[in-house]
Amino acid sequence: MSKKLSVSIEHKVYPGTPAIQALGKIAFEVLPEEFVCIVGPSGCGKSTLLRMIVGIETAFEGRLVLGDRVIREPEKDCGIVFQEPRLLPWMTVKQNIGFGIYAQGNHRQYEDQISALLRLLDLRDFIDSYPNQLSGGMAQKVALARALINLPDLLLLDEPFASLDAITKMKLQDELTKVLKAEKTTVLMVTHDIEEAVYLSDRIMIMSQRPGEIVKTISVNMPKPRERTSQAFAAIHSEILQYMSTVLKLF
Amino acid sequence: MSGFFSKSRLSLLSLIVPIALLVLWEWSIDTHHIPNTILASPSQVAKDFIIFLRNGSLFVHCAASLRRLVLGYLIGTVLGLFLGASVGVSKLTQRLISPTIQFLVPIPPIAWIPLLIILLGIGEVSKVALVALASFFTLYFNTVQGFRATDQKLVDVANVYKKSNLELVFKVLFPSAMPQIFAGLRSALALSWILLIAAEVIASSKGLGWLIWDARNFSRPDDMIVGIITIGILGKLSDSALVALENRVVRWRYVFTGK
Repeated sequence: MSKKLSVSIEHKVYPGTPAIQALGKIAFEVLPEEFVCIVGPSGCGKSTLLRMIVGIETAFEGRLVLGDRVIREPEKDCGIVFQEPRLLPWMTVKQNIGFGIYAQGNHRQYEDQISALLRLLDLRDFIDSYPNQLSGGMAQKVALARALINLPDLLLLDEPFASLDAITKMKLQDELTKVLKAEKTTVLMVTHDIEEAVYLSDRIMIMSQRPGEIVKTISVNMPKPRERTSQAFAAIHSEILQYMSTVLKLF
Repeated sequence: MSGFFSKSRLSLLSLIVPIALLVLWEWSIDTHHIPNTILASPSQVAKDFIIFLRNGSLFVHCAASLRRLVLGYLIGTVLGLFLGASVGVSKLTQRLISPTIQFLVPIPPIAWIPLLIILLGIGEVSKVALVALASFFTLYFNTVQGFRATDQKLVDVANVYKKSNLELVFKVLFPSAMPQIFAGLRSALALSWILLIAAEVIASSKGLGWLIWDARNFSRPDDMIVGIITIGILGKLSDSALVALENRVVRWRYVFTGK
């Protein structure tokens, strides 16, 4: 079900005066069912990269392939959760999740799936609530359900937990792991939260400052769910921090 | 709020000024400080109001005015909504239509009256057209603004899920513009009343505007005030109906409602 993502980008420039080069040469692959994280400083072009992969940013030099399809526009096999929930305020939780459905007309076949997601994410009591009645974590869960309703082969996550408090964040990371185990989706996540990256990913790529390039890749070979307080966890965490401070001189 | 200024006390408080004014009004006419050929006293107005209700002529005037108002308002708002939406959605229609309308918007609607009368006669059509014209501009303007105030991030979401243009309009842009559209509907309604009465004063043989003007010609201050009060009541009722509708339609909104 899940597909391989191949990224090979020559560069991405935002036109203007002065023109801004957002991304440099970038090439990597995300294997089926793999969870890959990109960490990097803010403004390094992480979000831009995801907008390109999801198909809403099409002006760039390079080639993106998902499975055997070249990405040119948004498709059903790729879902995204943004930094903010971006729920439609005039729709209930259920309608918002339904908004993610691609198929025109026949929504009935998705009914079961909506209920399954609501159960999995513990949202059943809020099915008819409006977004303004939800907490930040709850709203982000609805956004996640909306992205998963099409059973995408690739899920893109753009710092989805960045605006949440530490405890809600950890809870949602666990729920995400649970959902991904059930759905067997390939995931590419961007974040500036190193702990989050180590906790969730199979592989972590570090991106440099603008123009963004992948400067280092670190494999995380620990069984999930992971122990945030373990020695191995701390070792990888500090390896990344070390790299960011001594090699990239970010801080 | 507690003690002396409890809620029920507060609403009683709001009655003091109008009652005092009514008493002063009645007194100044009873004592001939103001001649009753110029201004009728509240009690005279009340008696006159009952006469108007009994002989049914008030209903005739109301019906004539409401017919013009509703017809013009519906035509104007529907057209304004439709054209505003198409300009709001697309840059192409914006370039095609917007400059022309931008030029016409600042013209006070009253300025159209003579032209409309020459073009359409002094009958019903010119009055309906005037109301329609003003409603159209108001709705057009607010709809375009509402559409263009939609958060691009939500439009991105619609794009990610490959929504058709129709779905983009009806599920994202329209709902997002709804508060602004309702603001437009309410100002269009208020403006419609103003223009309708003005048009009826200028030329007509029935309707509330005519009732007021005719009362002046025959020195009937009581009739005049009956007409004014009726317009006030109808204006308030129609606005309240719109507000009730708005509260139903945009109940998802999360806004400050006052302390």
